[in-house]
Amino acid sequence: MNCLDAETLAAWFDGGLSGAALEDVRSHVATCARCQALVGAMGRTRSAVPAPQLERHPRWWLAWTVPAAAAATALVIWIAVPHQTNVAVNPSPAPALQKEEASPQSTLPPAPAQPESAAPAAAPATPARQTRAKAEAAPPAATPQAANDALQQAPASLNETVSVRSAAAPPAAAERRDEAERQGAVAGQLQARAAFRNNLCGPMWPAPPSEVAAQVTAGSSPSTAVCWIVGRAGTVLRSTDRRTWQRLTFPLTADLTSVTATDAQSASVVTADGRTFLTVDGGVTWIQR
Amino acid sequence: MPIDATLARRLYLKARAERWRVPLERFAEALERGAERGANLETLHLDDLALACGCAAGDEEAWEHFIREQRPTLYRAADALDPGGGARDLADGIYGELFERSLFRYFHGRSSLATWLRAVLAQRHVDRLRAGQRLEPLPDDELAASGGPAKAGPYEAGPYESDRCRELIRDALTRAVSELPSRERLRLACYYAQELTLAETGKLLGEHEATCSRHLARTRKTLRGEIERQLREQHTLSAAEIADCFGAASQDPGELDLRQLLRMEPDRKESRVDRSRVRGRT
Repeated sequence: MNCLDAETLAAWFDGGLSGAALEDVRSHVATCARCQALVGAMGRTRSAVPAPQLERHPRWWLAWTVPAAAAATALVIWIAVPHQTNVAVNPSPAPALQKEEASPQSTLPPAPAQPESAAPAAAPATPARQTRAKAEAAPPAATPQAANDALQQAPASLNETVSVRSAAAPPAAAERRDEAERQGAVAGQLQARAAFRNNLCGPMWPAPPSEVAAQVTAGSSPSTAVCWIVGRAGTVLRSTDRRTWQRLTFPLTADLTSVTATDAQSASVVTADGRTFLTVDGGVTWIQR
Repeated sequence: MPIDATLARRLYLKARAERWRVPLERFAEALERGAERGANLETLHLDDLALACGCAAGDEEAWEHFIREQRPTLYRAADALDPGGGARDLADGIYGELFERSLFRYFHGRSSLATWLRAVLAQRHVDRLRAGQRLEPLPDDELAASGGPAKAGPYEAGPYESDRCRELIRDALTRAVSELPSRERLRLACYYAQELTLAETGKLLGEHEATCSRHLARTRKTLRGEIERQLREQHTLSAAEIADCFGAASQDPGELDLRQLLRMEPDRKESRVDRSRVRGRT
């Protein structure tokens, strides 16, 4: 077989060869210095090709799971941890509740209506707190299903306590519980959103500047040293040193919903109304596609 | 190889070739050229083939689209091949040929346009380098034979022993590599000599990167075992001497270059080592 021409080489790299033609190419390259050098040159140009969208979509597509999982976790924690308010106002405690009242935790003041996961109070290690500590120490639940699994690992008596209390709680306690639940879920979502904003480029990247942190919506990190972030009102940030963020000028004040960067100079962004803009000079100029 | 008109029509629509005002007949001709190259028409990069046909036909929108989408790829590839900018002229040359439309006829859709452009550039870059190397003088024989100054290290064998060890191992490795199946040689060449990633190497060989990694480990073990066997059986070295030889070779491999061995073509597989000299010393 003769040396590979460019078209055959490209077809080999893109999986366009099969059967005898593919085997011929492989056996030829195994013993041909020039064709091996071609393969090496192709390998060196890999950075020229933008990362396929397929690899980016799941990250963005699954981004909703972050706040969802956090909210589910907050809800699980709220359910798993007994709220003293319920105990205090319950006129006729059920057997399981009596068991809880016998624990040191029953002497604590009513739980504040704030997210339990945000600032865990120092308290004696009761079974319930142990459960919460376990829930907090466990790896973050990646999905609501994982959160449910974590809930199922709670002691049976705890589940029993929750169910009994839910049935016996008077309307006022139920309202407080609903309010606490709502606030807990909202706080969990806010925390998750903050975590999402701070991890647009990955866990080891610095958070965006505080003045624009609330506006960012998407990020793209084409290499270990480069990351682009976009957000509302034409916000475009870029970091090329993993330490500092540079604010780039964008010609519009439109909200930007996604960014796909290929390197420190080239990126395309999409506005909320679906327009795509491209830069190949590090954000100095933008061209609408 | 004539293409069925219904199939050509279906692929034409699938490629949305009408965007670039490509006549069906012209697109069918491109398909025929691909079929002649053994392409599976169902798996062609039809979008890119339609764009190439549009550019070749002189459609301005197609050309603008091509410039916007592909020219950055071409120049980024040139910079990746030569960060000093030495490959930019090659990219310019390719761009010029594309502008004159002559080059598009060699694109058959078996790959994406981006990969094809990288391949065209890689081919010209490698050929230019090889042409340049042919004009360079050969290295001084004595310097090459000595393998350069030995590096400092814990191995305390004298220069004579070190040289001998390197020669023995080079000889054994050359033979071991030459006896490897073609597929294993290719895997070694892609991964070690050409520094492709495991995923890229696996893709070229049609295997998963984990499989590729396992095969590489197995091949390394095979080579090591074969070298040890040759040193033990043919040169009657003891286990300690074999270990010393490996130590010396790893400290200072000298001419021991796997890249060179893997690039040797079948008719040049014979060792470059003067075996009579090795035997004499043994």
